[in-house]
Amino acid sequence: MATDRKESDELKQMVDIDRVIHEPARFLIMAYLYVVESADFLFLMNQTGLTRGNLSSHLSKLETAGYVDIQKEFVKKMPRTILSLTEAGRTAFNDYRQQMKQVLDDLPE
Amino acid sequence: MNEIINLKDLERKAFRSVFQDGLWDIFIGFLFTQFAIAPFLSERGLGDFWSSAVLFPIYMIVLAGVILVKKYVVAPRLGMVQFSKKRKSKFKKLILMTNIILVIGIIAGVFFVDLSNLNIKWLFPATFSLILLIGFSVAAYLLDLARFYVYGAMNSLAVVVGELLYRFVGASHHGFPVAFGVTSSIMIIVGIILLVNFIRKYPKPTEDLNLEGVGNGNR
Repeated sequence: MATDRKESDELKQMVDIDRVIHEPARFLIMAYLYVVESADFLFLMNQTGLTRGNLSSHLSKLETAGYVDIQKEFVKKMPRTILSLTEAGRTAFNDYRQQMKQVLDDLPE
Repeated sequence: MNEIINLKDLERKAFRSVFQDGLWDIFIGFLFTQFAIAPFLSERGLGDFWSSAVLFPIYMIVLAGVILVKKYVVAPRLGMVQFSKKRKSKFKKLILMTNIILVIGIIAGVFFVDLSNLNIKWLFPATFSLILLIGFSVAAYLLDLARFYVYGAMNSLAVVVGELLYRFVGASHHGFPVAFGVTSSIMIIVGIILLVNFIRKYPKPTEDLNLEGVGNGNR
């Protein structure tokens, strides 16, 4: 009975994984923004190796989820897009790390 | 993919990318040419102080060039990034350590000028060599730049090699022009190679990177 409950909890943990972050490209974007304070679109594009369209599309999803803050500004008449993690995004990323660690640690050998 | 990402490595990679343009190598290399050129100027009657001081405007021009290239060549290719508070504090530590090493160097210099009449042949080269090794190693550690350890070892060794050339081959000015001429040239050449590779690796974006439909509340 206790074993069944444990298995059920483990399965629930897997189901509860944040799917917005779980997608590899979005995970990479979140990871980069997690380790820096902010970065512009070009820097993130260079670091992640994603194309403009791909990065733009993933950022849009992360922004919709409230994880990424996107600010547009003009520097000497040139547009610049500054990206940073929101508090919710930072918390979600931390939670995701913990959950994944737990799930992977609990896997049988 | 998720399992193999180490956040510390990721941050290090992002930070290192800022130094992959080789501009600091070029600037530091130019600064070290001072040890190769100044002795000749000193010999022509400028004296120890003015032989170094006269080179100062040249280094300021090089520094201005480095800043301009950083702004107009590197930044439009690499993009902009603000690092974490921890990284910024590491950078402040580097500036503090550099100043401490500089003060120690000046004190040691003054101290050794007073000792110049004594027959302590290897004390000055050994101390100068150690200061260079420590200085570059601190920078390498705090900036996570392995090649600065090599520069430290190379310049530290240059002092010793210069002194050996002076004592055994009769090279002028404690062998500084030869030894530091070589090390500064190596640093400048490495910097230029890194800069060329950087420009090749990161072409200037031709497309508009302003995101349409996202940002500033467009959800």
